[in-house]
Amino acid sequence: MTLNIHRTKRLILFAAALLMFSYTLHAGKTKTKFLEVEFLSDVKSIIPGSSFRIGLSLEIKKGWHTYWRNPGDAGMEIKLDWDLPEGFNAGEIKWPVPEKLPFAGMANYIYEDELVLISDIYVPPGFSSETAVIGLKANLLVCKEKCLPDSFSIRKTLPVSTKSTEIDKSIAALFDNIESGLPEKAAFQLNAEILNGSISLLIPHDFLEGKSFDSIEFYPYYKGIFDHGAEQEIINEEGSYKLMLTLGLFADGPPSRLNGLLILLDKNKNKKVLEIDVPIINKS
Amino acid sequence: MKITRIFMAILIIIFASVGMQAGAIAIDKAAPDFTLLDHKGKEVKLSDFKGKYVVLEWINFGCPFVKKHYKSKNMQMLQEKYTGKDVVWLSICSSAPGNQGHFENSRIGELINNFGYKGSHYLIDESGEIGKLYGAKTTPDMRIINPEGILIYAGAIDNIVSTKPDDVKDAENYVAKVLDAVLAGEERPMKVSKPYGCSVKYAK
Repeated sequence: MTLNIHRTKRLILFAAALLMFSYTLHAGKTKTKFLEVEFLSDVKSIIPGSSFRIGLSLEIKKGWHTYWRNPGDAGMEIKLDWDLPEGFNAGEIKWPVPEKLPFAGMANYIYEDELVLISDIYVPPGFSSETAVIGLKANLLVCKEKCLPDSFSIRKTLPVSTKSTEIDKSIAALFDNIESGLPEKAAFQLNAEILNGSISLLIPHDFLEGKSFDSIEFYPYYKGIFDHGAEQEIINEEGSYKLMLTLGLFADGPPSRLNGLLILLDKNKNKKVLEIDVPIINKS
Repeated sequence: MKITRIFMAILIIIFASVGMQAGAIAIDKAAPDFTLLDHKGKEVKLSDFKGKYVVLEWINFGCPFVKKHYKSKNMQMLQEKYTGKDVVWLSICSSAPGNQGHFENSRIGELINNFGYKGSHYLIDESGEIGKLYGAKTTPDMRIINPEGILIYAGAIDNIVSTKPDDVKDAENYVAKVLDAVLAGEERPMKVSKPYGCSVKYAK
C-alpha cells in the first residue's frame, strides 16, 4: 500500500515538472533594452499538411516607438528573418494599423506600447519529425527623441501530432481579436489618376455609404515615393471626393499602382481602415 | 479692353513663373544657392564651387545610421577619394539647438578629428532652412550637384538599410556609383533612391 502511494506521489511530481518544463519550452519569451517579447502560437501541436498562426508580441518601452512596413520619411521598418524547418513557409506579416506621427513637415508611421505581428505558418504534408523549432531573428529601430537599433532572436518548439490539432484557446482568441482590427480590403475598386504630376484618389460618395467622415488619409505601402508630410487636400467634386497625394523628391516617376491604407475618421474618432490596391491611370 | 487683356495675360504669366520657381527642389533642376558658416566660422556659398561636382551630406554624429558610415570609415573613404578628384564635399548639420546632432563648434572640431573626417566643410544649418530647402529627411541624406549647378542625384548613400557597420562592405554605394560614372563622362546610372536614417532633427 505504502509503496503505491509513494509511486503515485512521484508520478504526480514528475508530471508537474514535465508540465512546467514544457511550458517554458513553449513560452518563447525574451527581453531587450526596449522590448518585452513573447512568441505565441495558436496551437499546442502542429499537424503536417496544415497551417497555424504564430504571433510575435512586442511590449515597447513607454515613450518609445518603432515602425510600420513603410516607416515614412525616416526610421526603419521592423525586419523579421524566419528560421524554419525544411519545407515550412511563413506567410506575409499581418501588419496592424499604425499611427501617423507628423513632425517638422515630415511624417512617420509608428507603433507604440503594444504590438502583435501575426503570420500564418504552413507545415508541409511530409514533415516527419516529432518536434518543429520555429525561429525568428528581428531587427528594429526604436526611437524617442533619438533612435537606437534593437534586435533579438527567439524560438519556439512545437510537438508534431498526427491526430487533430490542439488549439490554444486563449491565444487563438487573442489572434482573432487582433485580426478583426486589421484593415479590410476595399469592397470595390476606387479610381486613382495622375495629372500633371499630381496623384489623386477618387472616392465616390456612395463608397462612404452615406456616412460623413471628419478626415480621410492615405498611408502608402510604398517606401520613399510619396511626400508623407504633405497635406492631403480633399476636393469635393461631383459625386466623389478627390484625395490629393504628393510625390516626394525621391520618386523616380509615379508608381503604376496605388496601394496602402485608406484611413477614415468620423467625428467621434471612430476609425475605419481599408486596404486599397488600384492602378493609377495617367491622364496627363 | 485689348490692353487690359494683354496686361492680365502678362500678369498671369508672371505669377505662374514665380509660382514655379518658388516650387520645391527637383532632380535635373538648378540646385538653389545657399550661404552657411562652417564649424570654423568661415562663410561658405554653394556658388563658390560652380564648375565642380558638389556632394551634400546631411549629418548628425549622434545618429546610429551616420555612425555606421563613420565607424566603418566608409564616409571618410568616400570623402577622401572624391575630394581627391576635385569634388567638393559639404557635410550639413540641420539639427536645431538642443536636438541630437547639434554641437558647439569646438565639439565639432573634436568629433571631426576623432573620426578622421575628410570632407571639405562641415556646415552649420541650425535653423534647418537649407535642409528644408533641399528636402533633407534623414541622416545621412545625399545630394549630388554637377558643375553647371544642376541637382543630379538625391537619396540614400547605399542600398542596405541598417545601422550595422558590417553591412557597408556588402552594400552598393549609390554616391560612388553616380560619381564614378559622371566623372568618367558617362551617363548617370540613377537619379534618386529612398534615403534611410534618423530623421533630420529640425526644430519642432
